[in-house]
Amino acid sequence: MNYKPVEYWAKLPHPMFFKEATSVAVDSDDNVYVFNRGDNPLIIFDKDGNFLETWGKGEFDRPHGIEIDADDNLYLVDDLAHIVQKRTKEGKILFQIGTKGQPADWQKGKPFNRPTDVAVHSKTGDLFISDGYGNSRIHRYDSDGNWILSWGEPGSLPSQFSLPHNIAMFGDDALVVCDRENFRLQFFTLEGQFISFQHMHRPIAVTEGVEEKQIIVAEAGAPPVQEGVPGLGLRVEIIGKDGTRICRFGKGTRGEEHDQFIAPHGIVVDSHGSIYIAEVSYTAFGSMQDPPREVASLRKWETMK
Amino acid sequence: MVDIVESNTKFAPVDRWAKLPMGITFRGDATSVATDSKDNVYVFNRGNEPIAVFDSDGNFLRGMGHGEFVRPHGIEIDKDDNIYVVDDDGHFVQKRDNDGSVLFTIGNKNKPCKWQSGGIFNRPTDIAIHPETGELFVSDGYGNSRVHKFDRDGNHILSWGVPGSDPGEFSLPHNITMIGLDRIAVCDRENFRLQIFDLDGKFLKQIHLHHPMSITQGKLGDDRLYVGEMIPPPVQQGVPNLGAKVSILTPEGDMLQQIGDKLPGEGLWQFTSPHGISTDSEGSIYVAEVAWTNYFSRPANSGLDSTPLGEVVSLRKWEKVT
Repeated sequence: MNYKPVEYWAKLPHPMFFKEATSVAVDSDDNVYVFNRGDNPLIIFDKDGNFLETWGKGEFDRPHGIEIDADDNLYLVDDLAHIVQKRTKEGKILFQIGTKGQPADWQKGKPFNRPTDVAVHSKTGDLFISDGYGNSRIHRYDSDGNWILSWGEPGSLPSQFSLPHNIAMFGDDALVVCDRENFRLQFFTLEGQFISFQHMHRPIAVTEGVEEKQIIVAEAGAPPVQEGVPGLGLRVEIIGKDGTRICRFGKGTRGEEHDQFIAPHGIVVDSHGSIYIAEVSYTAFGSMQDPPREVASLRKWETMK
Repeated sequence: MVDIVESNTKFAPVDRWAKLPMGITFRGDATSVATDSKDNVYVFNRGNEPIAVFDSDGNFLRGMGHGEFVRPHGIEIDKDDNIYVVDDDGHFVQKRDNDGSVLFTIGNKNKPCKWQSGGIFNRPTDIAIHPETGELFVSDGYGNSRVHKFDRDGNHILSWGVPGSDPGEFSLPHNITMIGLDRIAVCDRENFRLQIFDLDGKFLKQIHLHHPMSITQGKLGDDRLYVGEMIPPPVQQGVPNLGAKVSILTPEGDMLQQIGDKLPGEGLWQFTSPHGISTDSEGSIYVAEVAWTNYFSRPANSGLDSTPLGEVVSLRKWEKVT
């Protein structure tokens, strides 16, 4: 399997901008929902990158994660507001977990302190939330947003986390968590029992692949001490259910070229196997330019014919 | 024969072990440590006596190498008590006799090879010595992603590794040790793992750990691996149980126990930056820390709002307790 970048995919109506795209999801029609940090936090495109709709202006403190369920409802994770919302795809709020602007105590395990992402069980609708920058937990809720259980604590041993940054279903009976600053994926049962871990380079985003128990993982770049060294993250890997790599793409160096990444942060695949990658490129790169500028933060890669 | 460490073996820190004559300091960075056949302790540091030697009770014996190093980084001692030092910013490795006289130098002082080219050297970090053949294995380093093998006279035999995160690739190979007579363990620091190779550089396996920065195997039949784990990146500063510990593993890589507190710090039971590690014939553990460079001088790492004025603790001894 081989992938190639789709150049200049998203067509933004002037003067709409992302500042940076944090995360991305697709609905049952393969429309693409980009949760971003510009003035229009939710921007929707068709699969050809034509603009469809926007909403959510002024409603979020800091967009971080997005997911869409089997009925095309949206789940939005706002890390600095410390909330997760379920909305219709038109943007109407169905329920909210957490209290806006009210974090739980730092690293104490109660929901939430800067949550990062959500996974939705395709049959039961149960929610699994990774939490996050100020916590080291996974929380499970039922489909109405009622808390069921939580697990995890700070640390580097199995079932401990150092910044759980993304979460995805792994089939119907398991979950995969990007344990970002521990450089590994961790796999759990739906009850939070540790199954296994897999070493990765700073995994920052994960989504289910098109086949059962296939996952697609984006790797973040190296820390400053290794800046500029090639082959350290800044790539996307498709991993089969036995844990072996099916393919990997991206040049593996930071940059603005079509085959490079700057700061992968969110990932999703559509029904055709095309992969969308959202990047926090402004935070990682654009904000440090003189003058600061918006740089590419949404990429689409498709399979080569 | 040393008593073998198990998961229930107890260690405790030795308070104020090293006794430094007034005027000699480590300048906050005791980068690495090695012990000789008499259990004397050699601390390769960034102060005014770069190779500072103590007896096992911490009495200062002598200092060597004044003005001879650019930036001390790694030290090792062979079975004949020769000293091997690795100077990262000087880009060289030296073998010295026990009195400090240079026997040979590998690399050209202040002349690095091209960055990430795989040549010899670009900011090398550490050295391991084969106990029988005397062959040398050098991890290289901050500006390279290689392990180089030399014969006992310093002649180059082979090199392996490229930048990356797959098996056999490195992201800052920071420390290296022999395991027994037939394997090499490398702290692949920014890949959060140990990599195990045979003596020809064939990848055997990887062992996931938190930010491993230093490693040694025990002496005199003590087959345990002692691994110093670095603190997490600034984004996780203050979060407990992330590095700043010494993990003790079986030679196969199974975790037996960790020593150190939940958080980094200057306290007796804590570590800030376990950058070099060694053990002696009693099974005591010496840990050298780049405490100033990696912790106290960096508020993003330490969470401190000011930097300390004087010397900071950068050398620890832990011993077994019954």
